[in-house]
Amino acid sequence: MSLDRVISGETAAGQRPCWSCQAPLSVRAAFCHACGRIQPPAALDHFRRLNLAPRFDLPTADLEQQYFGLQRSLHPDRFAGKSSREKALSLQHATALNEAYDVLRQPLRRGEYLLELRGRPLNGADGGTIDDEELLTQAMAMRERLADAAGEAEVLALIASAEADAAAILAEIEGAFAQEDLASAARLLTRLRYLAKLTAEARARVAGAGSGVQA
Amino acid sequence: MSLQILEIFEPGETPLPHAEAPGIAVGIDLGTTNSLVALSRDAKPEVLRDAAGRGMLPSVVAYDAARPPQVGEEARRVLLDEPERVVSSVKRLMGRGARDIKALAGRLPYEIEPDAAERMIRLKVAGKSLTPVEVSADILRALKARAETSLAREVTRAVITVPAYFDDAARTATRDAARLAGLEVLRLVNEPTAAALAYGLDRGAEGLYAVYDLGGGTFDISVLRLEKGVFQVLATGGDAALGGDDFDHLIAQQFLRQREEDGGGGDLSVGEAKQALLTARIAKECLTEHTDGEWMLEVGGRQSRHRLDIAGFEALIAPLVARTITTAKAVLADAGLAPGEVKGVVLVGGSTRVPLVRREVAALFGRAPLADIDPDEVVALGAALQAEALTGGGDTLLLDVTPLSLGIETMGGLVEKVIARNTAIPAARAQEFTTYQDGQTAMMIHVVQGERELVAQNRSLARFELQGIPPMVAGAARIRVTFAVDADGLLTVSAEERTTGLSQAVVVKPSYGLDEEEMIAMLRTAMENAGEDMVLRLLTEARVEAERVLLALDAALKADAGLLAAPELATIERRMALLRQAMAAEDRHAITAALEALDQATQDFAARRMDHGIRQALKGVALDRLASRLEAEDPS
Amino acid sequence: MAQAAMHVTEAAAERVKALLAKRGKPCAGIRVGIRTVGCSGLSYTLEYAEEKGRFDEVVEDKGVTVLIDPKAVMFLLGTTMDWTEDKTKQGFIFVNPNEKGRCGCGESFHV
Repeated sequence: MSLDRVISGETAAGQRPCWSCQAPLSVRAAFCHACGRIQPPAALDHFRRLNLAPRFDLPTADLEQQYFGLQRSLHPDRFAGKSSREKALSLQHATALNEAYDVLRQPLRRGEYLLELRGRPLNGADGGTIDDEELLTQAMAMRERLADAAGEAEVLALIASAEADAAAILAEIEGAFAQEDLASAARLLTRLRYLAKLTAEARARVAGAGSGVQA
Repeated sequence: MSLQILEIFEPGETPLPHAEAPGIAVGIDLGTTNSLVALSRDAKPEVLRDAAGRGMLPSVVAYDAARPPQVGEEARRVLLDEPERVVSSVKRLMGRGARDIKALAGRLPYEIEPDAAERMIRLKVAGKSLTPVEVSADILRALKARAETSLAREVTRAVITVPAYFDDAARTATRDAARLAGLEVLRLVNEPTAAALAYGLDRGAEGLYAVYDLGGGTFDISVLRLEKGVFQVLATGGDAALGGDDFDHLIAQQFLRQREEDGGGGDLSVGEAKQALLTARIAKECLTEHTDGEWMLEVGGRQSRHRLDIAGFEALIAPLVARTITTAKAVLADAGLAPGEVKGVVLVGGSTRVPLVRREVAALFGRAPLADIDPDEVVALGAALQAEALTGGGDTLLLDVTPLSLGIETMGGLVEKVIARNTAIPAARAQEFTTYQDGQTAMMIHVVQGERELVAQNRSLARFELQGIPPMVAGAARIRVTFAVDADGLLTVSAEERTTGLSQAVVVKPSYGLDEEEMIAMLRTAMENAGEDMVLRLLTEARVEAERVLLALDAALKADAGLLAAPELATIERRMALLRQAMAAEDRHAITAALEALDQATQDFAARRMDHGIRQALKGVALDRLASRLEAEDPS
Repeated sequence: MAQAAMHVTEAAAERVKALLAKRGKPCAGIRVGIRTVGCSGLSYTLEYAEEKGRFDEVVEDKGVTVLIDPKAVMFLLGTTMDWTEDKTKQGFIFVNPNEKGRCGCGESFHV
C-alpha cells in the first residue's frame, strides 16, 4: 500500500479548506464532512480515483462497483438544482471518473497505464522500433492473411483466431505483472496492441462490406 | 455531519428542515411529427393531455401576419387549405444550413431566405422570417402552456429529449429554442436513453438492451446495459436525417413520377409539395393496416389517381430500412456484442409501426421487439422520469456517450480525432498541436464532428483563431487544445500555448447556430409577448378554440346532419348555443366547460362521419378532400 | 462486497428492536437515506422501511436489518450506527472510524 501512496503523490499532510465553509478537509475528500458540499477532484491516478489497488488483474465487478458507486454521488445529474460552482465541480469529477473507467476497463490500456505508473511507458503506438522477432513475423503473417481473405467468413475466422491469441496473451500479462516482471509485461502488451489493431482493421472490413450492400 | 442526532420516522414523514416546495420539472419529447410533455411524480410518469384528452401535439405551427401562431391540431388543419403559412417537421432543420434540406421534385416544402450557405436557415412564412429555433420555441411554448393548464401551476424547467445522433449544432439549437420559450433545460437527454429509462424502471429490465428509435425525421439505435438502476449506454449510432418523413417522400416521388409518365408533369408550388407529402403520409399510415389503397393528387388544378399496395410500399422503403439495420449492426459491433447477446429490443417512434421495420428488426436480433409501452409516448415518459430525478433526487444513473467523434482539422484537410464516438460523457481530452511555419503567431482551429477522414466530409462546428503565439521556429510552439463535452453532449473547446501559458477558451457556437445578438433580439420579443396579461391570453385562446370548433361543426352539420337522429341533433344545437353564450362572457373556465360538453355530445357524430368517410375513401375518393371533410371543413 | 457496508452497535441495535416492537407493524427494517438540505448541505434520514427498495444495500448486524438508500451508501461505508443518550438529547448517530482529523467523506469510501 505504501507503493500506492508514492504513485499518487499523496502526502499525509494533504489537507485543504472546504471552498464553502472553510472546514479543513483531506485533499481527497469528494465532499465536505461539515457542510456536505462537493469539493474539487484531487489529482489522483486512475486507480486511486476509483479507490482501487493498482493491479492488472482487476475484477470487472470491482471496477464497476466503484465507478457506478462514485458516479451515483458525483454525476452532474445529482447537482441539477445546485449552484453553478457545484455543477462545475461535479462535471470535473464525473469527467475524471469516466476517464479513469475508460482506461481501466480495457486490459490493453490498463496494462499500458500500469507501466506508465511504474515509470516504464511503452513506446507510442506507432513510434519506436519493435525488436520482437516473433511479433514481427506473426504480425506480418496475419496482415497477409487479412489482405488475402476472400470472404466475410475468412475475415471472421481471422478475428476469432486473433481474439484467442489475445486471450492467451492476457493471461501471460497477468502472470508477468504478478511477478513484477515489467519487461515481459511490456513485450506482451506490445503484442496485444498489434492484435487489437489487426482485429479493429478486420472488423472495419466486415462492417464496410455490410454497408456496401445497399450502396 | 456525523454528529447529527437522528430519530426514526415513519416512511416519508421525516420533517423537512426547510419547508421548501420542491420545484417541478417536466419531460418534453420535441419530435419531428409530434411532441409531448409529461410529468413524473413518485416515479410514475404521465403524459399531460389537452382538454380533449390528446397527448400528442402535432409539431406543426401555422403563422399569420396578424395573429399569434397556432400550434398543433389547429395548425395541421391550416395545412390542408393554406399550406404556405404552415411549418412542419422543423426538427429536421435544427442546426442545419440551406443545403441540408431535401427537395421534392425540385421544390422545397419551405420557402427559405436566400442567404449564405454557412448560416442557420431562415424560413419565409406568412410575411415573417423565422429560424427553426423560433419555430421550435413556439412548439415548446404550446407544450409549456399545456403543462401549466394541466397542472395549474407555472412550469419553468424541463428535460428535453434529442435524438442521440443529433450533433452539437442541433443540440445547441434545441437549447436555444427552450430558452426562447422561457424554459430552463435541466438536461438534454438522448431519446433512446430516455426510452430505456422508462422501460427499465417500468418493466424492471436488467441486462443488455437495444433501443431502435425510428421517428418522423431521425433514426437512433442505442445499446445499453441496465443494471441496478444504472443505465449505461455502451454505443449509439443513427442518422439525424432518416425517418418516417423519408418514407413519405419516396411515396410522393413515386406518385409524381407516375403523373409525369401520364403526361401530367408541371412544377409544384410550395403548397402543393406540402400537400403531396401529406397525401403520401396518409397513404403510408393506411398501408400499415391495409394491403392497398388509392390516393389522389392535385397539382396545377389537375387531379391524378395513384394506387399503392403494401408490396410496392415496402419495395420503396426497403433500402432505407436496410440502412437502419446496417447502422444497428455497426453499433452492436462498436459495443463488442453479437445480436444474440441482446436481451430485448425496444421499439420507439411512430415509424416503428411500419410492418417491414418490425420484421427487419426482429430478424436482426432474432427476437420479437418490445413495444408494450406506447412507442409514441415512451420517450416523453422517460424524460419526465429524468426530470423528476434531477429535481427531486433519484437513484437512477444515466451514463450516456457522444454519438459522433469530435476532432480538429490538421494539415491537408485531414481530421485528427480528439474525442472518439461512444466516449462516456462528460468527457474531456487534450491534444497537442504545433505551428508549421517559422514565426507563426496565430493558429486557426477548426472543430469538426463526424467519422470521416476528410474535413469536408464531416460537419463543421466552429472555427476560431488562437492569436498571440510568440514567434518561434516551426514545430516549437506547443498548443494544447482541450475538448470538453458536458452531460448534455455540448462541446466547449479551449486552447493554450504551453510555452507561454497564453490561453483562450471558446464555447463552440456552431456555424449553423444563432449568434448572441440574434438570440438577445429574439429573447426581447419573446419577453414582450410574455408580458401580455396571461389571463387575457388564455381567455383569447379559449375563445379562438371555441370559435374554431363551432365553425367546423357548422360545416360538418351542413354536410352530414343526416347521420344524426333528431334528438341528437337537438342536444348538439343546444350545447352549441351554450358555448356561444360562454364565449360572450369573460370566464375562460366556463368556455372550456361548455366546449367539453359540446365535445361529448359530438363524439358519436364524429365517429360516424369518420366511418362514412373511410368507406368513401376506400372507394377511391380523393383523400386530401376526405381529410378536409374529416377535419370538418366545408368542401365546397 | 464481502465486508458489510456499515455496522450497528449493541446499543443502537437494542434501541431499533425496541422501537420496531413498539411500532407493532410488519417491517423490513429501517432505512437510512440522505437528503440535501437547502443551506446546510446534506443530512441523513432514518425511517421505518415497509419493504426493501430495489437498489437498497442491505446490512444485517446484531439482529437488525438496515437498508441503505444507494445515494447514501457512499457516505456511510465503514461507519457505525450508534445510540447516544444524555440528559438533554438522545438519538442515533453515525460514527465514522475512518475520519482522520475530520478529513471527510471521500476518505471513507472504502469497499
